[in-house]
Amino acid sequence: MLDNNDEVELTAGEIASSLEIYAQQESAAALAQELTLYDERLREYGIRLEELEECSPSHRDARKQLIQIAKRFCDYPEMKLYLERTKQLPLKEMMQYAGVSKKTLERNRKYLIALILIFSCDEFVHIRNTVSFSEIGE
Amino acid sequence: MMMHGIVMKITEQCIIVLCEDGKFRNLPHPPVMPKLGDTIPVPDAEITIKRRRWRRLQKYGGLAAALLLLCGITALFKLIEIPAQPVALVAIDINPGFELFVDGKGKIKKAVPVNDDANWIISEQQLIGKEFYAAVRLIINKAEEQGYLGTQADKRWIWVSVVDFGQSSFDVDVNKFISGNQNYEIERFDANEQQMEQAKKAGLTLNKYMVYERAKQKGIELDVEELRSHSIASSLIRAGINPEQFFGKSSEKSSHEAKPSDDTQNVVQSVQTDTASVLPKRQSNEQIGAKKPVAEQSEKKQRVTKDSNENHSATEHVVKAQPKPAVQEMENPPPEQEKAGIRKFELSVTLDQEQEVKLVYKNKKDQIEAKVEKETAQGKERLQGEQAVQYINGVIRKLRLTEKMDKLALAERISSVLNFRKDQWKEMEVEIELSNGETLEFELKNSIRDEEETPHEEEWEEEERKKEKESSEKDDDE
Repeated sequence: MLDNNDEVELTAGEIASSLEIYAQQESAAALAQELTLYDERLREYGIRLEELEECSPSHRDARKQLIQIAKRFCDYPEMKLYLERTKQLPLKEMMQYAGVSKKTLERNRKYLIALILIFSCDEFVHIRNTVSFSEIGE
Repeated sequence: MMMHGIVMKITEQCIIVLCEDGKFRNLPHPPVMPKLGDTIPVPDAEITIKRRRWRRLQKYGGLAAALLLLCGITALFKLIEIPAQPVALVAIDINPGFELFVDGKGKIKKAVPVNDDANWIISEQQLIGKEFYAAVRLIINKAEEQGYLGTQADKRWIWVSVVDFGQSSFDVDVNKFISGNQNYEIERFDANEQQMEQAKKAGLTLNKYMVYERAKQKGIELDVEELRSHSIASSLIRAGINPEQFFGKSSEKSSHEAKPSDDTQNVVQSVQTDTASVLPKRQSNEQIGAKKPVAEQSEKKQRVTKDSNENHSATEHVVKAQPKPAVQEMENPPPEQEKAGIRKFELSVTLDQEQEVKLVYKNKKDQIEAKVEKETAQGKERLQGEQAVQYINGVIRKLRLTEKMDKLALAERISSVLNFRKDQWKEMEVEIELSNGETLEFELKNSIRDEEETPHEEEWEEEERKKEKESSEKDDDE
């Protein structure tokens, strides 16, 4: 009997682990899908993922500041709508809450849009959950 | 601790990763390819394609820059060198001869006098740095002052050979050499560096070598020794060639032919001197004595020109018009000329070991008979008909008699033309009869052999005498 219970328990463990693996695979597949979609979305804004390396600010502080600006962008649904509609950043409005110059926003436009899409779009939940900026404390 | 990043995209060239420091990076493909969305470690060294590209760019850029620099330096050196290095050699022969090395700017870089006369008229230093045409005009004026150029036939010629070294083109316009009142014949040759070398080997100036080559092309074998020691014009005239005809300038100078000038007289005199030395003394004296007035000579010359083939050179015509043209007929005679001018040519050479060479050429009323019999160590050889005519024509042409050639010199030339050793022949009999009735006849014993043989004969005679004495003594005793 004991043997049978053990067998049952093992089987349940195996099943749990299989389910976990399945869930992971599902999640990975969903993430991959999102990433493909993300690339497509970026293209709609005239941005290619390959060029984001060049668009990333070289200074750590600048990156940190821009990540914060992108995160706070989600708090302003009207700006989000404006962006989706016009594919352009609402620079004036952003300047008010971001506390940076228009020139800085314009210069980092592509990097900002890439991050804003990750943080504000519902379709990129998996990406948002996966991405980590622990190096710069974000 | 190693930084990580999420694989955002995988392309053929790289993987795009969003790193924990908030930076997008394009990383090269790792050995094990991650999946989209995988979190992968990112090396601290940030080996990005961009950096690689930059490094590659730096590497190749550096190489390219070095190459460009090298090219630039080379070009700069060339620019500096072009005017400095000679681009052409212009060899000028009057009788004084110069080799002028001209640089890219058309100035004299180096001037080499090729004979003593050149040293005499102008120094090298006076020419260096001068503009080319100015230097040439200076040479010509100096040559004129010193009497190397004038109105005489052999002093009216300037020979120019141009060797282009190929670095930069330098055009030589010979019309710029002389001013309006100067009337000289300028003959220009385009030579190459190979011909320069050959001229040096032959010990000739470049122009002399070019003339020698042109003569050879025309079937005339000029004497190199003669060219070496005399000016081109006089060498040609001595060889019985009119320079004007030779260089195809006869049409321009037709007036000279119609009315014999001092130049023609010079040619005539030169030819007469030539014949005098080879012909027997009696004939030579007659010849000098028989010199006719210029007008008469002119008439004869014109008549001969009409009768002869149109292609015959003026010099040949002049020579024919002379009262005693014997030897001149033999100098550079074209085959047709020989047939017409020489009625009989007989040469018999007795060699050692009972060997003999006989050349017989007879021209009787345009019926040519020729026979060659050679019995030498190489074996017997016999030629007849056209072959014999050609052979004898060749021999006559090669004999190339000159003004100071006496019987011995002629014998020596015959032995050399027929490939005998100096001591190989014993006796030589020569008989030449010309169409005008003149004959040249002589018999010659080889003096070298006589010297060798004489002591033997004396010894033999002494022995004979001794034997006779002994026999007479024996008779007496009996």
